[in-house]
Amino acid sequence: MNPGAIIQFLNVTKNYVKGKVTALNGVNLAIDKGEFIVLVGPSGAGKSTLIRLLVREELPSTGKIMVAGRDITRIKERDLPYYRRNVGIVFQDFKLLPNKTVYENVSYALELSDEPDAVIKDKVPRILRLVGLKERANNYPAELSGGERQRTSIARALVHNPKLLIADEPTGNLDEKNTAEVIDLLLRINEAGTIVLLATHDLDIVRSLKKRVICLNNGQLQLVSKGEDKK
Amino acid sequence: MIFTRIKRISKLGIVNTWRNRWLSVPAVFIIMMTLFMMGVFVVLGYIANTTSDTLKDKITVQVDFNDSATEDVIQNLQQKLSQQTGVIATYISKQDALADFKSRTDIKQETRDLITEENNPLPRGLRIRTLDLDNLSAVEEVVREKQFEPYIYKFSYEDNKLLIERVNEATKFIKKAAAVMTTIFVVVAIMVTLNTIQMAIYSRRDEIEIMRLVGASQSYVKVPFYIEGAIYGISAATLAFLLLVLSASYFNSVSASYFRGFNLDAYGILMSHFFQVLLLQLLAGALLGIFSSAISIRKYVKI
Repeated sequence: MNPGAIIQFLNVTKNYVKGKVTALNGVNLAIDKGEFIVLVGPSGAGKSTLIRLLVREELPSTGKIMVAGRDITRIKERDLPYYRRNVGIVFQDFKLLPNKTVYENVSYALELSDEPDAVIKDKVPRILRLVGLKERANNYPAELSGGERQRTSIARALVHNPKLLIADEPTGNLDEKNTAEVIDLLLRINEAGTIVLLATHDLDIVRSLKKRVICLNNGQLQLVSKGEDKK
Repeated sequence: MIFTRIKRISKLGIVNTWRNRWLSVPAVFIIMMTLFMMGVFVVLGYIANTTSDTLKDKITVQVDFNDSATEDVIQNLQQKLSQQTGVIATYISKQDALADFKSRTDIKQETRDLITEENNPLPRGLRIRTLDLDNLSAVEEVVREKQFEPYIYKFSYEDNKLLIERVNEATKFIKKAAAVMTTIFVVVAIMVTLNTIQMAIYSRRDEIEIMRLVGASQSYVKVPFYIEGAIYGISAATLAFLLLVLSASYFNSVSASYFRGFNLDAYGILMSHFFQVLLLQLLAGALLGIFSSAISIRKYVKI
């Protein structure tokens, strides 16, 4: 138990197929305010399950998940959208809407949560500037490079000023230069106070980041490195 | 805020229909075809029903009495018949029979002139109509009673028994067939619409997933799809109605030469119920669209 932690997994187990497959087995994890944490592990080790639990796409079989002092396994369905606005998420395959421009892909997220037009007009350009896509606002995803697409999806994840940004293999489809850009952006976002949870199996990134690294293996969590800023 | 929400949700619904037009147009056409077939069978069923009703209304049987029959005997039979359910027996006096005879245009004037009020051999009788042709057997039983036998000159049911039974069977069959076909096509229309919209929504589940992940509230995810469903349904219903009117007018021009003497005025029927049919089609289309969207959404949108 860590009383200062914002996110806590308390003895979380997740079984699939009526208990025959155990994806997570008694996982305990505490993430502090402002932390940048790297999650590694072979495919099928439970990384995706952990992320799906954290955005409440799935419920654990047993255990509690506390976010900002609240057990998210108990959130009612109709309150879920409000919880999800506190958690930004980006994926390996970007998940952008192909028939919307960069600007629209970002503003859409705000429209869907009843933000007034004035707020949208103010916020979207600022976020696009932050991710360095101001010039590309009117382009469609198909006209962008992979890195630009991922930065668009990060911009979308940031519109609600989330307390937590989850990046699930965000650089899996990117070349070296674009990867560096995206990681750099994630670091800047983290410096501004957002917790970043980065799932990856790119060991170069893991080594260069020098952050806390946890590893999921066979549904169990191991600490690999405490990170340099946490001695 | 509620205004902004309504504006955004309707805009999403309309814009999505337009952006997905390569999916929307075929969907609308499929729904239109099934609604059209449904409409055709409703109209055909209606025609079958009214024609068989007019056919049945034309069937009357008549009991003619000997001159030896007293008015008491006739009244007795009339009463007995009227006690049966769905049987109407009308007394035809000699004068009535004469008036009927005089008005028959299928008989030559000279022949008609042979019979006059003073010299009137036409028998008194009871004209019997039944609401259901099945009741005729009960009528037959009553008329066949021993007490009436000596007074009855002629009972027309005997001559036409076979024909009447055939007509009875035929109309029953037509009504049943029309009801079955209409039901089948209503079910088919529902199933096809459901499947079409389900496919349209299935192909967009990524979009739904994205909406969910960016924290869209339920109404933003679902209502645009309901609107889309309603747009599909209403456009399909409008087109189906137009097609129905066109086919009815074509059918009229063709049927006039084939079924002379029968009133198969599909176009007239449609026109006289224009707004009912149109409204019913639109309502059916819209509800079908919304209902199908709601079901498909439930299937693919895990909250």
